Amino acid sequence: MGKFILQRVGAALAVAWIALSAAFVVLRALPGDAVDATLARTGTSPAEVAARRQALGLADPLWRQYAAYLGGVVRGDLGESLVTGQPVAQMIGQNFGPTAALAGSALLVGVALGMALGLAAGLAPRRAPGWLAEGVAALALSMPVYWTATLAIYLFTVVLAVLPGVGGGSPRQLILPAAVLGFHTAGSIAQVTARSIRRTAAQDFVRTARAKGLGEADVTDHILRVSLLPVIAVVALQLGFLLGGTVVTESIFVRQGVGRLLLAAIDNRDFPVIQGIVTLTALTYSLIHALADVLYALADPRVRVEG
Amino acid sequence: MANGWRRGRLRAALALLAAAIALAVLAPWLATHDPRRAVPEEQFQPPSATHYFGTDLLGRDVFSRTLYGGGRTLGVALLTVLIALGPGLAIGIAAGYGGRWLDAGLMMLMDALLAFPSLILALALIALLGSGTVQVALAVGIAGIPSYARVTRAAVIQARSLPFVEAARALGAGPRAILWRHIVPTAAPSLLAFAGVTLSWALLNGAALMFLGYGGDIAAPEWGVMLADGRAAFRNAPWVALAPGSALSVTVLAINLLAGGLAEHPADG
Amino acid sequence: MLTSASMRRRLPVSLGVLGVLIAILCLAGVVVALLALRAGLDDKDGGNRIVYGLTLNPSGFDPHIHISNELGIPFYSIYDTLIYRHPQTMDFVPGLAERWEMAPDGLSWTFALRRDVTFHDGTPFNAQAVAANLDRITNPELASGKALALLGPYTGYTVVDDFTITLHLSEPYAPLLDGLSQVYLGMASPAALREYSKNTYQWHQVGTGPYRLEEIVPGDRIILRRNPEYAWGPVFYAEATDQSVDTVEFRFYTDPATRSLALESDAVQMIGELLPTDVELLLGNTQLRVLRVPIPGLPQQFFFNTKRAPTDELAVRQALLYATNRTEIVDAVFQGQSPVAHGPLTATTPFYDPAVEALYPFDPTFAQSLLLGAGYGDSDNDGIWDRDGEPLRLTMIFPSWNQTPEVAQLIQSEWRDIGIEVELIRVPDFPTLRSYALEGDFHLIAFYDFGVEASLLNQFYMTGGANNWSGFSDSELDGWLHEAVRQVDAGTRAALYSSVQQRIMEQAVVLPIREYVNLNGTTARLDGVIFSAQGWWPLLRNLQLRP
Repeated sequence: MGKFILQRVGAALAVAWIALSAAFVVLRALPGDAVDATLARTGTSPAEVAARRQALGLADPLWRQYAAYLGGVVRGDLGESLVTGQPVAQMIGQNFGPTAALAGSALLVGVALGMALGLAAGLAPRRAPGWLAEGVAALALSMPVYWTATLAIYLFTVVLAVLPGVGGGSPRQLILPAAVLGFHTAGSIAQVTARSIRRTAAQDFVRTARAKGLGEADVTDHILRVSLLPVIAVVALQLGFLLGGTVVTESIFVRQGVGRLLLAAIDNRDFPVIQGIVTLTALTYSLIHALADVLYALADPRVRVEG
Repeated sequence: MANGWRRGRLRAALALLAAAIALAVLAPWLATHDPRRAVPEEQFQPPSATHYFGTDLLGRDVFSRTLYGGGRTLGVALLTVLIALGPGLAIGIAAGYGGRWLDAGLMMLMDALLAFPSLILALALIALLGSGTVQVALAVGIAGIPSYARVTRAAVIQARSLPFVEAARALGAGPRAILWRHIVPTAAPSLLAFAGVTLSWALLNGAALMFLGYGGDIAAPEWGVMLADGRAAFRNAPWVALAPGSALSVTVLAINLLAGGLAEHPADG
Repeated sequence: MLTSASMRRRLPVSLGVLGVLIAILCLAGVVVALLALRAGLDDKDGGNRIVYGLTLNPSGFDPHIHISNELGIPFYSIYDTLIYRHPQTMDFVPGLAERWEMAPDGLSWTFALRRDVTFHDGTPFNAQAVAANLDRITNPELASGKALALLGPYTGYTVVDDFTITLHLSEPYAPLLDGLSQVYLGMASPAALREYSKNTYQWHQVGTGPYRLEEIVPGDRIILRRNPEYAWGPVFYAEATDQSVDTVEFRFYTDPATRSLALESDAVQMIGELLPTDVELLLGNTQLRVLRVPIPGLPQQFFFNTKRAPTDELAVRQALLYATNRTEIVDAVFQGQSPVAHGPLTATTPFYDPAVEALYPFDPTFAQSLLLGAGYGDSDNDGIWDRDGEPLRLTMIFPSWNQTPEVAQLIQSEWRDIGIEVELIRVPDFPTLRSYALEGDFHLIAFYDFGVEASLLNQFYMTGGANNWSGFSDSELDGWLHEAVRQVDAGTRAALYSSVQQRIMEQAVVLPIREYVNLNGTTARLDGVIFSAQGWWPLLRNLQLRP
């Protein structure tokens, strides 16, 4: 088991390194750099612009910039913003809380709603509740976040005027974005739950259990135990998606967070900030996957053999 | 296993999707106005007999724009799936059929691609290639390659261990022959079903990039672009966003229902 | 029993795994609740308080270093400047300097400073403090963006006595006073500058202004608190009352579509850059007010590429100016909330010459006759005019902000009517815009800047100017622009800038669209809202919040 965990964590680190390197190369392909985004805008002379570029290390050969950056990362130093001079780790730290709050509460909404819908759709497929649940889940999967968000803001802030539509700072302002993002997440969780329940219900052991005269409650219990396994994977996937996928939600609801930090950093070509966010999201994402794999393996020893 | 409800749902979904495609294709004949022509005096007209879905900020006819927009949106989605499908299949087959090291390496690359924020990838591609519909399809499609690769790999591994494939190998068939004659045909149905499922993903993500303004010609009607226009006007003229928003949701819903139905059927049969 | 046991082996999921999952979720829930609670606690403090909605995240917060216009909104009230411009008359009035005098040769300016001023940290303000600020701004290590540029040909200073300082220039420089009146040259406490590094001072700014900086959380909030000791304000600052606003909390509302909502739901009591289409809605609400603040400087405009065919031809550029119905654009996109722009400067900018207003009335027929004269016509009857087989097709580059995409689409539609095709390219950010400009890969490109000083034109129109994206070059124009910066006499400058504006428009270097107006919204309970002469920056001192 120890070796398995080690393998998974090693793979996660490798994945983060590849993502970081890709980000490094990709960013240099964008037109312009941080000096273009700031100093050059005020009509500063080309000589001063060039001097600034030199001072920031942007004029160094690419391999040297990469080596310097990688060296820093290995020492746990993500560098400093090219625009504000603030340490990148501090910037991400300041923005991580609100993003985690949004992602966490959206996941809560998503898991609660998604499991409820999935159970209803899976256990009562031919009755009204199941039919309804399936419809809601399908709808959640069919509406993009930017569209649901627009409708939700209009409904709850303009028409009903019960919830603040935009902005950050108070807990009430978390309700709408968490609900919108959670609704979206619920769709895939519900789908996987329902499908998994149906598949399990059709398996031999369930028929055997029924034939053996087991009560319907006990049968359901058995079905649930088996069919919730894939749900773990999907919840892990969704957490990854949520941590990285709050960009649009944060923009529309005008909330502080890593997503908006990223957008601003792209606008300003603030390479160290972008690279820092890519590295950390890639690491988080792959560690969550590793964790899900390990949980899976703990639950089902066969996985280890195949993995 | 098939029952009336499921069949009915499939039919309804199929009808909806067919209608969406038909409307998009027939747009030049069905549209009542030039979708690009601005008539500022007719700004924000509510739905009426002349403008079925009203008009937008520049006085353009939302009904005609929604019809034309469908073609562009659906076209981008199809292109996206094709772009993701090719490399996804190749990488999946190579990983599932190649050696252990090739498999591990490729899958790690795919993981890295998955872990890479797709927004940055899209921005970089668009910066490199310029904004436009094909670029949007490329940006979304490349982000989708890992999923295809994984599904293909899983299907190939499953097919490889099937008795008749092992038998063929025992009979001395070459690896290439086994791949093309046995494994690919066996894995194809589930891959096709997967491509169907991902069409809705392609629609939503393509429209999202358009929504964010990377679709090139911004005056050309497209559902994501129209949604973005409509969002700014939502309080004055909700119809500007409602038409493309509903069209997008209904189309994706139809695909989801259809794909969900299809995905269940092979398992049943 | 046997079946059951074998079933257990086939059912590997123990409830333990589910338990772990649920535990993780609960933990996440608790973390969320704690974070939310903490955020809630922050909100509780007494006094008169408003929330002010900022419309973009400044890329940096140090006025001496960074360039963003937006940073002036919170920070102009942290600092005082040596000189202010009166918001109404735009005249120079005393700030931290009581009097000032230019030497007859124009190469030095002497400032007599107030003696009763203390920084927020209790240290006194004097000539040494001014010197420390100048030292900081001119230090190349600091890489000052705007502050240094505003000093122009500054070469150094002499501290005459504790409250007198002389600034030296290498050549006469008329815009100096305007520079000294901007937030970028606000006077910071030398003690604070010493205590913090060049990178960390921005989080601990200390000035002499009517508000003190309490907290900055980048991307989330900036909190200012009223400075009770403040008694050295310029003439247009009022006395504090018990309705004065004690705390101003700035929050970011970067999405234009939701700004009016924030105002209506009372999440903010003041916000700028409302959508023009939302103004009518807000005017119907008696709880709210809309303030239209004209911004001096360059209008919202497109530069023509004078180096690339066919916009290298004067007749073509002029035809395009005649072909543009600016009134229609202003009415449709800006809901009539902004004036039409006619020249390279807006009407509220000093030295504006109204003569440009008569130059290019909307006249599509005349535009077509100009094109005919240049050899164009619709030879293949496809609706798009052409010449020598080349269709009249133009590329227009513009960013996503300030409704420019809508303006561009309307222009595209207008020009199409007279046979000109335009390809629209919307870019996501400034570096991309700039890269198009540097590569010359455009016919029209949207770019402009703001400021009271007409010398702002130099970087855009002088040969080789840092932001001369049109590639325009005219030695006579260069001479006028250069001379206008050296001449201090207002009459002389006015004459020079008249020639400048008329030449730019005669040569059709730029397509002006509308004069920039910042649409601010406030709650009707808020009085005393005034803006600095630059237009963007509110002066918080006079704010009064009625209960």
